Amino acid sequence: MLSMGCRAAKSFQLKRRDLVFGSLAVLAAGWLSLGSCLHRTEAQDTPEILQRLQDNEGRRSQRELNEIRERRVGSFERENASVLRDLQPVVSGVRASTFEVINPTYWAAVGAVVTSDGYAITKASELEQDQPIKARFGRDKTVSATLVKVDAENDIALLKLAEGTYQPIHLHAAEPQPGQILLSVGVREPIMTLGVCSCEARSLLQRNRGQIGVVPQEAADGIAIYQVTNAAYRAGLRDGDVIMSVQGREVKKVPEFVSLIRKYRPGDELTVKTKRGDTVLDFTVKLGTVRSLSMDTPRFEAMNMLGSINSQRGGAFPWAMQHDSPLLPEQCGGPLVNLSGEVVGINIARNGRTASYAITGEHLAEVLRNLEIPGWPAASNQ
Amino acid sequence: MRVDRANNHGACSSGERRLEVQGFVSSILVVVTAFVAVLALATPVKAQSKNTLPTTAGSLDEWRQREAAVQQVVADATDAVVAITDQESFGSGVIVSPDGLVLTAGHVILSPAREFTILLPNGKTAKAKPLGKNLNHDAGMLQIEETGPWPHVEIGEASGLRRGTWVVALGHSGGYDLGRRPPVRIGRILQTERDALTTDCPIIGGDSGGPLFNLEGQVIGIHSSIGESIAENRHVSVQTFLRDWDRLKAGESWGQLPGTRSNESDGEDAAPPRRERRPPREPNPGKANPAPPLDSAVLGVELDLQDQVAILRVIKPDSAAERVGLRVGDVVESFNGVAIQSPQELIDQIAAKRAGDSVKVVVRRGAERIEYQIILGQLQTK
Repeated sequence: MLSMGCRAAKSFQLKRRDLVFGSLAVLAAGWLSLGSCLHRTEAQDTPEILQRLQDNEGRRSQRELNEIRERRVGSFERENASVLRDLQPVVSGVRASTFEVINPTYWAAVGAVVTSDGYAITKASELEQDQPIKARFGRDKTVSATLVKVDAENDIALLKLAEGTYQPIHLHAAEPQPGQILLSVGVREPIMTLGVCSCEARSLLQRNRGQIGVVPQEAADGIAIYQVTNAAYRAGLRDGDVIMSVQGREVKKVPEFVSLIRKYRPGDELTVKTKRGDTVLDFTVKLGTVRSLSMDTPRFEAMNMLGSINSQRGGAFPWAMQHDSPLLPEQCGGPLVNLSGEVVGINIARNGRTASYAITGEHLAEVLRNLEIPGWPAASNQ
Repeated sequence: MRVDRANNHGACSSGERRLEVQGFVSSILVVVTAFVAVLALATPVKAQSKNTLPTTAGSLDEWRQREAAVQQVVADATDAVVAITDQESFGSGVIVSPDGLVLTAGHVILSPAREFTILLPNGKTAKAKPLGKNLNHDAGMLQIEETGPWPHVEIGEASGLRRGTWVVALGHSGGYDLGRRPPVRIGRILQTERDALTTDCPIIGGDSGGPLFNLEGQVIGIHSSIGESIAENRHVSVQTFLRDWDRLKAGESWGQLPGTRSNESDGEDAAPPRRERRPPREPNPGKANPAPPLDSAVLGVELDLQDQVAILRVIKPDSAAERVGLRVGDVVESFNGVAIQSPQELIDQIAAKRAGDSVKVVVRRGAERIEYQIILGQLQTK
C-alpha cells in the first residue's frame, strides 16, 4: 500500500503512435442527457465509462484508481517533472515543516507543523482516528503522533508529534487571488502539484444557508437588487435598491456579497444599509431558508470523477479557496505556497476533476486559534 | 491510425509495471445538466521503453512573468465570460464584440429554444438569440439582443500555438454560481489539430462553450469535450470560428456532432467535405468501429507524437512512403512547401490532402537532405 500516490514513480512510459492518414479523429459517440432535461430520449447512449461509474455508485477498482495515481505526465504537460524541478527552490523553506501522515500503515494525508514542539495539523476525514498515526519527514525520519482534537466543521485534525524540535510553518494571511500560481509541498517529491488560484476564497456550505431573496447585480455604489422577494421584501427592500453594506461590511462585488450572505444561517438577522435614490436606509433582514442549489446529478458526479479521485469529504467547508492543482486525496492536509514560498493555505480537499480546496487567510488563522494550540500563535505568526 | 473494437479500459497487468492501453480515449462534451456525449477517439497507445524529452520550463523570473500574465488575462477577460442557459441546462460562452456577439460550443445551443439567457459574472442577465452552429466541430454563436456596449475579449490565432504553450481556461464549471467568478485554470497545449486543441487545462460540465486564452488574453479555443484522463480536454480551435464566421453569423446550422443523431441537415459543411461521408453511427457507440473517410490521403508511415521532430518510426509495406524509398529514421522537414516542425504538423498537412494528390516531401537523412515527389495513397478499407 505504500506505493499509493506514487504518481511520479514511472517505471513505464507510454508513447502514442498514430499511423498517418487523413483524419486522425475517428469518432463514435453517444448522447445522453443529465438531470431533468428534455432530451432524455437518447439516454440509452450513456457512454460506457459514465454508466459504469453510475452503476457502481462511483466505486472504482484498485486498478482504475492506480491508473489515475500512476498516470504518466507527458513531456509537454504543466506538471512535467522538469517544470516542477525548476520551482523546487521556492518550497525549500517549507519542506522541513511538511510530513506524510502514515495511518494506519499507508500514506493517508499530508500534514504541516505549526509549533516547534511538534503540534501539527492535517486533514481529519482521511484518518482512521482509532488507528496508529505516524509522521514521515523525508526518507528516513518517521515519528509517532497522537490525535489531540478535531475541528469537524473545517475538517482539520490537530496532531502532537513525538517529543523533539520541529520547524513550524509561518502563515501568510493574505488571500490568494485568481491567477496566482500555487504549489503543493510534498515529502517524497518537493512539489506534488502545480496549480493556479481559480476563485477567491468563499463559503462552500450547501445546507442550511440563509436566504435573502434578491437577484444581485453590481452597481456603482454597491449591489443593486432585483426580483426582491421573501426575507428582503418582508424587511422592506424593493427592486432597484442598492445594498451598500451588510453587517457593516461594504459590498462591491456580487461574489463577495453572495459569499457574505451564505455565511449566515436561516433566522439570523442582518443589518443592511441601502441606498434608494439619494436616501440611505437601514433595514434588518431576517434570513429565510434556501433549498440546496446543488446541480449535482449522478451523471455530473460521474463526469467529475474522470481522471480524479475525490477526498472522503470534498465540500461544505465554511471558507475555502478553490485551485486547480490535481491533488490526490492523500496529498491533502499540507501546505500550499505561492511563488515567494509563503504558506498561503492548507490543502483541505480534492473535489472532482477541476477543483481542489484550501483553507486560507484569516479563516485559517481563526481555525488554528480555535484549536487552542499551546504555543500558537508564536510571535512570528502574530 | 488503427481503430480498435471498443475496449475502454487498457489491459493493465497488475503484477507488472507494464501498461498496455488499446483503443479508445473517451471524450465527453462538457455541458452540465444537458447533453453529454462520449466520443470514442481511437488512439492506439502502445507500451514503449523510456522516452523522456527535455522541456524548458523557465526560471523563477519567467514564472513570475507567467503568473502576472495569467492574472492580467483573468482581470481583462472574466467579465466577458458568460453562462448560457435555456432554463434546462447550463453552458458557457464568451463575448467577443461590444455589440454582444458570443462564441460558444455548438452543443450548448443544440436545444430548440429560440432564446437563451446569458448570465454575466457581475449578476447581469440578458436575452440572446442563437445564431449558427457547425456541429461537425462543435462551434456555435449567439447574439445578445440588448444594446451594448458589452465587456468583450479579443480573438486570437491558433497558428502560433505549439505543444507546451501555456494557456488559461475560464468557464462556469458546474453551472452558474453567483457566489464565485468563473474559475481560472491553467495548462498547456498538448495537441493542435485543424479544428481542435487538446490541453491539460482541466474542464468539466458547465464549462462547455467557455473560452481558452493565450497569455495575451486572446481567445484561441472554446471548451468542447473531455476524456477519461485529466490531460484530455478538447477545445474547438478559434480557426474553425474564423473560417466559418460568416456562415455562423448568418445563422446557418450544419453538420453533425461526432457520432450522434442530433444533426442539422439544412446546410453543408464547406470543409472538409469528407466529413459528410462519415458512416451512420452504430446503435451502440461503444461497439462502433467507424470506417475512416474513403478519400483520406495516406503516406504510409507511423510517427511518435512524443518526438520533437517528424521522424519516421515505421514505414508501412506497400505504401506510398515505401514505394518512393522513405526510410525509418528520416526526418520530414517540409511537406508540399510547408515547413514541418513536429509530428503533429505533418499529420495536419497530410490530413489536408486527398488520396491521389502529389506532394513534394523534403527529408533529412543523416547529413543528407533528400527531396521526394510522392503521390499519396488511399486508405485500404476492409
